Amino acid sequence: MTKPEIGAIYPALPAIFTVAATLIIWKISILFFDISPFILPPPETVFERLWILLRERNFWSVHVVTTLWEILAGFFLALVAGLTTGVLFGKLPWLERALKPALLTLQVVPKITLLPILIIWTGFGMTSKIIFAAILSFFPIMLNVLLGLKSVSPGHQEVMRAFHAGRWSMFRFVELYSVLPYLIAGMEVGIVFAVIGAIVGEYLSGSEGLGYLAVIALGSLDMPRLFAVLIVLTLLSYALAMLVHCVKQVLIPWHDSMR
Amino acid sequence: MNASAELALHEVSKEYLSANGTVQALRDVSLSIVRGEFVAIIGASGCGKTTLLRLLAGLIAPTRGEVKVREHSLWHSGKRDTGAAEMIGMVFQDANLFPWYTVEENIYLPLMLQGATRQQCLEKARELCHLVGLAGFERSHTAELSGGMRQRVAIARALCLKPSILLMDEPFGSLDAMTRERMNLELQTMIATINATVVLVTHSITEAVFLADRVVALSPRPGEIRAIQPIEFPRERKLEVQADPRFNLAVQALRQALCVEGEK
Repeated sequence: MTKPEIGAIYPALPAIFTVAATLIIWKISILFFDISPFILPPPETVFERLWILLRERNFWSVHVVTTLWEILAGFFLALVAGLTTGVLFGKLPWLERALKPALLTLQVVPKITLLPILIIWTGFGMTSKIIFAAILSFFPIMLNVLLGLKSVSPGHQEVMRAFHAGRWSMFRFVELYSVLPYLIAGMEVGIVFAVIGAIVGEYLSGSEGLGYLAVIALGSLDMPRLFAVLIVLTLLSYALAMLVHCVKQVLIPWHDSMR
Repeated sequence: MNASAELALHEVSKEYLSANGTVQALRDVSLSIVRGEFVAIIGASGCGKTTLLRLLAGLIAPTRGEVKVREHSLWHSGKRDTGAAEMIGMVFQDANLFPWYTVEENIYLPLMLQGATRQQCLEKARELCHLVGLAGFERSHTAELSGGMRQRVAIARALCLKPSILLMDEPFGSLDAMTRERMNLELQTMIATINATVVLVTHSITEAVFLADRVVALSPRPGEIRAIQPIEFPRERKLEVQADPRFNLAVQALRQALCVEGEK
């Protein structure tokens, strides 16, 4: 009975060790180099403020929910748009040629400069952040899908042609599966970009969300609170990345990367 | 020309367009293969062996000449005759299995493309797994299979639509010598069971002589038929025939046909 428990805990040990070591180095360096708490607050202060933050009335119901919704809605929009555009471009080269200049422009423009425009167009609410998060995570997803469609194994295509498969069968039985690993790779980058999009959007405008909390903490030079918000954001981001990883395990258990 | 030719090439040439102009892969190849015959095609790398097989499969159209399957031309003014092409099964150099499907799903995919029910597909896959020695591996994932097993799946898949003609492009080229010998022996049994006409491309002269009724030697590019060597041993053959002096004479004759042309 005890054996599987040890086996389950053991793989986590190195990670636990790393976290513990980071906290110790953090604490020791403050004592040793005499760093001002305004620059780097000690870990116990940060965790105390984190505990306070987690119990604040509006924290979960307003700020976390707002940011999470912005991230997920933006990411979902990017996923649908990226997959559709990628597939259309992959299958219709003339469409790619026609729209590539416009998309390239959108891709290379410093996207942060679009944010004020989005705010003016859609107001200070969640919409501008959702759209901004979607724009940021759209490109990795779309470009990966396009790359995936163009990387379908010629051998697989030849086999399908030998069996007289039409365009639809080729897509349904071969291209779709060939694209999935690329789509997942795009999603892994895209979800992180969506988090950045939502937070930066909140930095610039609005009165809700974790990015807003960070800006307020900065305004009052409350470093422990700033760190506490950072920790929450990191954990949130981590949870979302794990979610994508779960999707990966469901969709492509056959892929070499999963062995 | 034999009237009952299963497969026929009439003065077939194939040219490819490349950056440096046209490359002639095959020149004026005429060959007639009768029902149930096993023909092996040998030649140096790049001599057009694979091109010849792809022409027979209807995967590419000839530049000149005509490819016929049971007196039906494979190409009609640039369009492939799918009816004629359906009699053909093809095994490629790489197994080209789909990693997202299990062994049985890989095997019955051609049948599924034709709109067969799941029950028909599963029955066919079981039957073919038995034929090619994969019984018990139906649900396995392809990544778990060895090279020999992967080619067995590829062969079973090629046989899924009950083709009367089986085309094989160096199917055992990437296998180790021991596995290759065993596959050669088992291939004979499979072919006897399904009674198919076979065209095999290989770069191994001994493999060609061991398996085939006739061995066709192609010259280096542009590929032309240099020699056709009939092999007299009755099928199915045992490994011992390789010790027979007549076996070695056939190998020797083919080696000469290939080498003399190579030095020219």
